[in-house]
Amino acid sequence: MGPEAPLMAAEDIWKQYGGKWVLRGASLRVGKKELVFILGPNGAGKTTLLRIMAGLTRPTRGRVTIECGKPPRECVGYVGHSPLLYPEMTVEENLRFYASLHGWEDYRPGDNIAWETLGLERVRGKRVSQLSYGWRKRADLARALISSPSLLLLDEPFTGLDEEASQRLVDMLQELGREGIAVVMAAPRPDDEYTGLASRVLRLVEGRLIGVGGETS
Amino acid sequence: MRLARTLYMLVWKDFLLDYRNPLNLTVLGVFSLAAGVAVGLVYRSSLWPAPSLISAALPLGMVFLAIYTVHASFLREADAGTLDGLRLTPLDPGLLMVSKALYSTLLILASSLLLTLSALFFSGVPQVYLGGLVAWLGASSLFLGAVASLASSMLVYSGARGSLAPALLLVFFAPFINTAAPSLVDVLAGHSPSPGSFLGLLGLGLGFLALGVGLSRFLVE
Repeated sequence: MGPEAPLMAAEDIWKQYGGKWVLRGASLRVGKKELVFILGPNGAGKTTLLRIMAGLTRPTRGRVTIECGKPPRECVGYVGHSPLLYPEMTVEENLRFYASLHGWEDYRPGDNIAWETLGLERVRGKRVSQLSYGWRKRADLARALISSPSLLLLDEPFTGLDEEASQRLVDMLQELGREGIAVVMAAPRPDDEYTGLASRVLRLVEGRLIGVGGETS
Repeated sequence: MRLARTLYMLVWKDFLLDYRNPLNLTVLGVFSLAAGVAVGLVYRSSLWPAPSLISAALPLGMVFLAIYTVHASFLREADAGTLDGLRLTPLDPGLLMVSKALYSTLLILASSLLLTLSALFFSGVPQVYLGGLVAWLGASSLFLGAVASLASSMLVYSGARGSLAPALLLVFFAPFINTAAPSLVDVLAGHSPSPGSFLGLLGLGLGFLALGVGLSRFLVE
């Protein structure tokens, strides 16, 4: 069961693509500081659910409400499979550009919570197109954190990361927890090292979220 | 002030992407130059009066340039996934539409200036009303830039771009050919363009821009 005053509530979410129901009444309430893991095989609808929670995809039925005291778009950070960065621009240019859209005129990348933890200083002046997938993903995490979101949505964040980067990400997730930022993370399979961080682990089965104990979330 | 700065950042970003991956700019430049030289040289070896020849070639060349910018607008962002990045910010979709139209307008204006000047140079046309010509190019580029951005945004989520794109462009560009070509003949013959046709072109451009801004919430969000 979620907390009484949720930061984000996705209620009875249904989504249909080309006649096929991907989500069938998935519901999730996320409270402040929570770290929720959503497990499910490829094609289970994890990405669709996260995109709906981020406001990038409209559900066929159901609704998502987010309450953080700021406009919803300032509340949520989202990192998907593909980094949402401009390949022709450097990491720093990308972050400054996105920061300007959030109203930060004197943005310094070093202020970003991910900058030091993920070691982004090393690739500050490099174009995104020159970076490996793992580094792009790290830089994309920094982008997602520009607005100081209250809720961070991560779609398979450990995919493509080497051991060192994965450890840095774990460190960052713990730091985010200390900062009071809630995280919802999707992954295709359980990994004790990472799922151990979670306050709740859910499975997406036939379009619905099921708690690991078997109860519907 | 904040609005102007955001608009500047969006246009600057589009320019930076083209500057660092200059295929788009190179294609536009080479096409404009080649078309201008070809029109100029054809005039020298034909009995056609230059105003007629250039008046026929320039609007067609500009329509091609506009079709090219359809991709450089929303479609490029959508295909790269960065449109999602913009949608996750508090950016007003109307402002995004204006920035795309502005950047397309600037690209079309610069390319069509190159086309026109090279055509005039190689054709040796004795007198051109330069002020009128620049004003005509400006109004035409605004119209085409606004239309290209609107068409691009309408194609973003379409699964049938191949068939929808030509139909959209044909409908959107028809008023341009109809309105622009006759007034261009006047300008190239050394006369000022008729105020009616010039203002009509400008009004159509602003109208399409307003339509794009109005629909942006449904097209981009």
